[in-house]
Amino acid sequence: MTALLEVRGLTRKFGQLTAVNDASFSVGAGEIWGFIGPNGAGKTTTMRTIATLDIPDQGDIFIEGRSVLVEPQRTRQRIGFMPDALGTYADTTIYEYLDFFARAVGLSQELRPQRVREVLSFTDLGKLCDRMMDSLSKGMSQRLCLAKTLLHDPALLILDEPAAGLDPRARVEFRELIRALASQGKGILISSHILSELSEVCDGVVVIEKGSIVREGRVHELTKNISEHEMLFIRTLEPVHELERALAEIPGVLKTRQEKLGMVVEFQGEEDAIADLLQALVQRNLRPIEFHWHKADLEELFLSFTEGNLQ
Amino acid sequence: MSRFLQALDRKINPVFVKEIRQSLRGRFFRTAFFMALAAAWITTLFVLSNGLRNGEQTSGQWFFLWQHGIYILTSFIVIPQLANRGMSAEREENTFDALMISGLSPARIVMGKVLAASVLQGLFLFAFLPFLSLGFAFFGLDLATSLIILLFTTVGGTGFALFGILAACLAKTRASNNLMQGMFTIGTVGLSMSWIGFSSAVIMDLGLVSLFGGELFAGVAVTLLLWYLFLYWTFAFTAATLTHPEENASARIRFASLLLSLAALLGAITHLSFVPDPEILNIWVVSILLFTMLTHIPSITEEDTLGRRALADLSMKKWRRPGMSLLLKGGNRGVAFFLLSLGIPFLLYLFPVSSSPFSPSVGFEGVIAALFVILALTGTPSLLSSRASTSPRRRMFLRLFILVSLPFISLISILFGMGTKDPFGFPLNAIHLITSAFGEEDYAYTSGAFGLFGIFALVAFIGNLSRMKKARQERKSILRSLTLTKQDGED
Repeated sequence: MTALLEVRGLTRKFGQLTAVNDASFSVGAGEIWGFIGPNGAGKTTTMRTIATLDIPDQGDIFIEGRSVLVEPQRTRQRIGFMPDALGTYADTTIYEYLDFFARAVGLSQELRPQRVREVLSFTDLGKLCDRMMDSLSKGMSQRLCLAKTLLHDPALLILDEPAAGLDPRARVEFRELIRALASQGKGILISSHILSELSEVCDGVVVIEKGSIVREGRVHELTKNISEHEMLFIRTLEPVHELERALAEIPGVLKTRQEKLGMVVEFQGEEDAIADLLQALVQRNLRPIEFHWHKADLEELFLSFTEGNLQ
Repeated sequence: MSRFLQALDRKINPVFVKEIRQSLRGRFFRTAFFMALAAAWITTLFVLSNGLRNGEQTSGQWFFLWQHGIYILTSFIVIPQLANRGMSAEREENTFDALMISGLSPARIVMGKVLAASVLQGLFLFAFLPFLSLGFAFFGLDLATSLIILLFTTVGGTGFALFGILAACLAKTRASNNLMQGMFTIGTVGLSMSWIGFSSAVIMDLGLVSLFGGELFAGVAVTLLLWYLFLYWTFAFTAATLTHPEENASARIRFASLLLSLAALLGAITHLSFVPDPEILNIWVVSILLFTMLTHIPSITEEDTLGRRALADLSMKKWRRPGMSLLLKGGNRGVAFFLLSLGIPFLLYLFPVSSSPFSPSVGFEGVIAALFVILALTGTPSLLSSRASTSPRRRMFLRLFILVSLPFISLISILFGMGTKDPFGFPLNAIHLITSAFGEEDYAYTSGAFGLFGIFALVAFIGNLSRMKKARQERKSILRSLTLTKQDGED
């Protein structure tokens, strides 16, 4: 089956600087993939190239099997690109802005008002359609940008830092919009610095650093592979430093780190050994109240796969 | 009726609608419009209170000149500035990317902006017409001359609007945009002043009929045709600056250049049929050669990345689209077109169109000199830029050199070729201009400098021909590989 988006051996150089180096990954229909990496890692360059706004020096990108290099006009009809900042037109209302892009994508006179109303309703901007664009808040601007991106009903959405600058409520609402879009069968590639945001919605992640893909795959597979040992979370009623001291004496405990009110423990051993560990803590009168497998999140994944260096 | 409206709705350019809406709501247009109208009213009141009282026969001319002067300033400064701002604002307001991937072709984007500038200019003209027509009530105006001058001002304004858009397209950064805007403003102010001076002289003293003589309408028609085709070339070039580098944007430029050189050929024939002067033929031939070289610039400076990528992809068996190979340049037709288009203008010497006595040998060697200079200035950088080892920055510089050198020669040629004799005794046409650089008084094309140009021209010519041949072989090899790949796929 052809992937919705397939990036093959993408390389982009700016003079001596290699912004993206031999990057390959794919995104399927109905999937949400996170694109994470430190600043200057090559995320935006990759996304702009997918959106036909830049040309790779090597490699190719395929949207539903069509090359963006060979058929840029046709592939553009299937891509919706949302940049990190919405460009605004002076002296233009929200409705006029959307109507302009609806005309640009070739919607007919009969379909246009209906489609504009649909995207306004989807992004909850219906009541603001007569407002001037330059009077919108950041959250509203992002919604409008998404509305514009959805006008031609693209199969693939490329969202570059869509949650940047949004307040917590707006982020939650935006996340719901993304989920709703994926449930419609759209493939979504989303970059964000707020990894907790991505971990809530992503099926898979692509981790990029210094222009190279350092890891890519489904979130549950990557978290499984993050360590070859068991990861446990332990919280006790006794102070954390006492727990840490006790853990240091128990065989099988390889590494510990403090997290929230407890400790994350890298432990070597089978299930029997884990049961013994719990028993040892009880015997030491540390009064454990939380003891479970620790599920790694995207932040941990990111930290374990990257060095955090800029280009 | 509704069907017609639907068809109209589909045809209407969204950029045009947007630009008109933004401009009419914008402060810049409204301020300029009301200031221009206020100036027109003040001038009218001033002339009414002075000119009519004097009762001079030339009151109408003065009145028209004042009103026309204000109209020139709006056409040559306000409208191009509006067009320039309309395009540069797309980058400044971060809407450029959205526009590029909106589904609108670059040509449609540029056309929408030019059309909007024309309509805004139409609004100015509509507002000024009552004032301008008042001039006829005060006597002394020649209707044909006034209308033709007005027509030139109007089409000139639209053309400068297009140049404004081109300037904004070429400027990729804020700093370069500011520089471009500054240079563009200075240029439009200078042109306004020149045109005010020229049109004043024509309306007050000469009259276009006396200037052109019997060939007035033919001259006006050819001038307008050339101007519009030059604008079409500029339009094609402007659209190409916005086009995805892998798309074939050069086809329209080549077509526009071809039309331009054909129009120049028509101009030469028309002009020579009225004025059988070999020096005029020389000027036209140089123009045709310049326009013809413009036809070849896009193909001879291309980076050939498409061909290289096609070959690389073929080795990975990725490329299975035979149609793409047609985009590769070269082939017999390319070589034939190159040679023919350079050769055709010289046929005018062998078959002079004038029925009057004509000496085609006068200045012929000057045309050869011009051809050498043109070939050297365009062919050598083309050859250098086509080398694989040439860096992108150097390639860009070489392209810029070619693009700047040709209009520069044209401008100098036009400036020096306008008259027949000059009071300082300088040579007054393009041929003299070029050849005088090489010799003392005569067409000394044997001099060292000329010889140097000749060597460059020859090397570039042979180099470019061999490059075309290489491209043809590359194309054949790709086609063969594609056939094999296709067969593999079928197997």
